[in-house]
Amino acid sequence: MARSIDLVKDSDGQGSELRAGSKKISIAFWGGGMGQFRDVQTFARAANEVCSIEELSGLLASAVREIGFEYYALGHHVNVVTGMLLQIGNYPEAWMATVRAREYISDDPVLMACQTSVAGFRWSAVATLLSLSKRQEQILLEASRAGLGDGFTVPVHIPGECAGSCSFAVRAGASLSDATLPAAQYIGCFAFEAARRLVRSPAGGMRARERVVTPALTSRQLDCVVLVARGKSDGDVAQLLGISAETVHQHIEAAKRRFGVATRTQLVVRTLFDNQLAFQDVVSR
Amino acid sequence: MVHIVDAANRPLFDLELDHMHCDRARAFGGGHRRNNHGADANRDIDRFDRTDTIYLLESDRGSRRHLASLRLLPTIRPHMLTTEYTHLCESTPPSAADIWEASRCCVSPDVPFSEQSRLRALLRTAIAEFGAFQGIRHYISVTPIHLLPEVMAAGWDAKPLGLPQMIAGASMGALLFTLTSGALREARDRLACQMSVLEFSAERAT
Repeated sequence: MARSIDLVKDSDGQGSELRAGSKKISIAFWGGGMGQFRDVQTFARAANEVCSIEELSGLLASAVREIGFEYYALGHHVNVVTGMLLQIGNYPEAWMATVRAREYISDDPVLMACQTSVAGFRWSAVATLLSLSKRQEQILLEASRAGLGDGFTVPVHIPGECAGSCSFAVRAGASLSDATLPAAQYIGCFAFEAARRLVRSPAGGMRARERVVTPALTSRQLDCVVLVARGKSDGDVAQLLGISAETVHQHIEAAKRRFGVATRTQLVVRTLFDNQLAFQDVVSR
Repeated sequence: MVHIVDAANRPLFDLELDHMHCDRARAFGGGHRRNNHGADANRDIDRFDRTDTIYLLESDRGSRRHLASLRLLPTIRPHMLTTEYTHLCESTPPSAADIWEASRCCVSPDVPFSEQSRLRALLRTAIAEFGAFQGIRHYISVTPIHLLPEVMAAGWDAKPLGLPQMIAGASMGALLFTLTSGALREARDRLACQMSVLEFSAERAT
């Protein structure tokens, strides 16, 4: 049976209640200044108790307003492994329709900036994180026209899982204070973990087969895959690692079996995708 | 295997510990070294690096080169959060016999990126095992915020002790971590290892 969500503002305007079915989670947000830390504590506790994505969505929408934002978007950037895409948010619907119609998601500059930064960043700094194409400049311009002002994104990189993020934005024309960013960082982290927990739970829709932990490669297998990704042959890898070519072949084949892939190219892609191998390992060393 | 280095076996790990202090100096730089008690600028040594301090340490068996380590301090005695990083806590950090502080968590800068995440997972597994054997239920730590999702995904319940602040160019936060049930299994699954990662032998394996 679906649990209903009801966010209710208290009479003094200082608190909210998240009513979910028969369970009531009282939320008392404290607003800016010294209250931001209490907001974070409150959110972290409540996020740990929510039982559905819908509850989390309501909680997050309430929390972001309390710390000075209007909009949020949380999700995995892609998840071809499980066929499951976690995406929640309250961006303006007209903007989301534009994103879908013009397929902006594939080269969204904020999502692409997450690939180059592990730390949270303001959207106004995106141009310092990557070289914007004309299309990406257009995306930022259209987002602003659609009502999204400046924003702050918390990238989420968990080894063995696909990348994700939690973004917060103010209305177009509103100012974004640096003072709100520490609380946003924590709320982004706790919200993402809550969403991740819900999606991975049986009630969250992920089947047991899909909850299997991503296969981890051994150190030696990773050593071999890194060198293969750099274009080395089995003979080259053997020489570099001081082992036989046959042993290299066995490591690569074992790694392929662990991921259930047929080719070396698939193996490299999967290890990059799962954060077991980084682009820095392949291209800059 | 991750070694437990303490007062009793410390002389056996002199080389590994020296490498550890060098790696810490490179990893943390000046911003974190508020109270460097070492005369050598190339080594990060502070007042809590005592002869009876406990370290969890992973090293290369052949070269004895330090790969990854962290330092464990009981919170019933002075520690980093009550001395160096008080500004990261909204109030006095929790202190009890079953709460220890994990600090100076360091992966050698020489280790490739892909191996770094495996070593962090190895240390998380080791600290969970150490806690289980020593009756430690919680750890407090100053943690880079960008690593918080990774730690929580590994099964640690996190409670912030204050808002994060920028330290040496990174956003850092003081947190209380509690090991949840099943976290040790999850940690071992991620390492593809179902056995203890801690080396309980008093001697250094060669």
